Amino acid sequence: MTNDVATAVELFPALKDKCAVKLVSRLNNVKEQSRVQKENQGFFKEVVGFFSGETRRRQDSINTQLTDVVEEAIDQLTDVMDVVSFNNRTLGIVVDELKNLQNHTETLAYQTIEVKGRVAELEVKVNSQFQMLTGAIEEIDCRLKARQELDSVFHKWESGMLNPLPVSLRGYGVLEELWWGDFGFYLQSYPGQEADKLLRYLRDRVVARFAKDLQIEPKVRVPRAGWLNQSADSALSLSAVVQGVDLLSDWATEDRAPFVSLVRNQCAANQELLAVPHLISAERLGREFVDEIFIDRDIA
Amino acid sequence: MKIGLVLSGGGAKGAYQAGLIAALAEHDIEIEMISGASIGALNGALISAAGDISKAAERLDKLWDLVATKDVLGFNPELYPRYLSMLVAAGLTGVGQLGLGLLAGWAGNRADTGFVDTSPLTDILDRYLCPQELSNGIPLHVSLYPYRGRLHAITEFIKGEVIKRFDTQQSIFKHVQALSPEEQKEVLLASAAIPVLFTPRKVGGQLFSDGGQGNYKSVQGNTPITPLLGQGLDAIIVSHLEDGSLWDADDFPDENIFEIRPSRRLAEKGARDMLGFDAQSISRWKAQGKDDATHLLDRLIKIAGSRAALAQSTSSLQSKVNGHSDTLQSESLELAMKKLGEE
Repeated sequence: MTNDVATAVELFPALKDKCAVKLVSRLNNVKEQSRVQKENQGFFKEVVGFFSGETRRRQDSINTQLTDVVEEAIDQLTDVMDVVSFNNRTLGIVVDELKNLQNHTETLAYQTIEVKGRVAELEVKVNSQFQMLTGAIEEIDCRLKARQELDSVFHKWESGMLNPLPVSLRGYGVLEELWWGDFGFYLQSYPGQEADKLLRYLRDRVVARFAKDLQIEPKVRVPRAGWLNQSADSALSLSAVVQGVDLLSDWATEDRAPFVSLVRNQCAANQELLAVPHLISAERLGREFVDEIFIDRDIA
Repeated sequence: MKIGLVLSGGGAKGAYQAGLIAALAEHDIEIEMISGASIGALNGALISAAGDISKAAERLDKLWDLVATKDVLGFNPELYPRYLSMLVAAGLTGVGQLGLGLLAGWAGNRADTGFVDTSPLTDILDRYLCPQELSNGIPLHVSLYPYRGRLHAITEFIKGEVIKRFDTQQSIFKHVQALSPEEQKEVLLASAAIPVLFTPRKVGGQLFSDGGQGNYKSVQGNTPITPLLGQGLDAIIVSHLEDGSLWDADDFPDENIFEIRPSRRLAEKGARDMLGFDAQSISRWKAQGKDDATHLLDRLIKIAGSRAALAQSTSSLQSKVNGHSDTLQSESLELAMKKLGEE
């Protein structure tokens, strides 16, 4: 591209574009001179024109200006061809880069598909982990509540609030309360090691409490009456408790829950139960109560 | 942008320049400097005094409409031949018009006073040509031809205009605004004062007649570009009134010259047409001047616009592509893709 063309960019007012001015002006001159030349026909005009040299001068002018116009047009054509070749070369580069970008895009597309698959897998894993985590948290929450309830119920027992009742009924009452509360819910909802540990803990505490209430060692056997009778200073009438015990222990059968049945029968008719020994230790009663109420209980 | 304007002489065909100026006004092309000969000097004086191109176009249009009116020309039959001579002044070509010019001059010479002071045309010019405005107007130069007596003038005329084999001496140029109001008027009169037909005018102690006589062969006097050369003008618009003028722009290679030539023959009726008294001819010339100038300017704008757009788009493309020479690849993208491949 010539400087002249470049200059035209900043000097747009058309009259400043010397090249354009020259082209338009000269071409117009050639047209005019050719017209006049054509109009100057006729013998007299031709003779005068020849004699005066005007015809030759006009022809010279036409030739010169035509040459100028053609030269200028060739310069312009050269400029345009340069621009076109530059544009074509640029177009080639653009096409190359376009192909390169197409390849890259294809690679990226495959990578994206792979990543998408991985993300889906990860999502499944995360969801699974999340659910597990949620379950674990819920389990911990329930266990904490169960433990709190256990402490709360035993605190009530330890405080002496249940002393008016026979010792066996104190333990039964406490265990039934735990079964129907958060403790029982936890054991039923999350059976397993933690539940077993909690049950062992419960068993130990019940045994310890029984032994303490009767002021004996856990393995020392005591006659049934020691477990079933009220203390001498108790003013509580058992008849008021009978209905409640009967209702709570309606699930207990003599063959599957003999010790609970003993407490129930004692309250109801004081009948003899062969499956229950006459001498019962705190350790035995505590263990059997826990097993019958929390393990062997038919919840159907 | 500084534009110069050269107005050639050509008698009544000066109406063509009124149309040309109207086209320039439509294209908002303001003029910075003017040079005129004969009728071109008178038109130039009006443009100069107008101050801007729109006002100039309006005044010229009105003036030439008045000139075309028969009543104006018929107002004083005694002055008729003098006005006729003035119009013919710088535009005479061919032997056939010589006799007519001499006849008109003979009739005109009966009156003692100059045309600017007495003729109806002068009244019109006076109306539009305020000396104050001219003094403060666009710089105007007019061409003058040194007068050496009637015989010498006739000889020069025959040598240059009729035989066309011999050349005349060069015209000289006067800067109108550098003169006193009286001298300004004399200079304008002198520039259009065809020898023999008009009384030569004295400016600065020297007699001058029609400036269009200088260098017949190169048309140096009648197309007076000389005062505008080397003035730092961006372009010079040259108006020709002679069909097939042999004035050559190549004689001024350092200047950016835009010539406006008649696309059709101006003097279709020969000598009678040259006198240009009828309203029809003046209207036709005005219209032709406007059409020719508009056509060329529009064409120029189109070509220059295309060239500018081409240059701009190429420059823009080059600035984007040059830095990358043979490739448009992005190094950072390639690096990222390479790392992606490795992983």
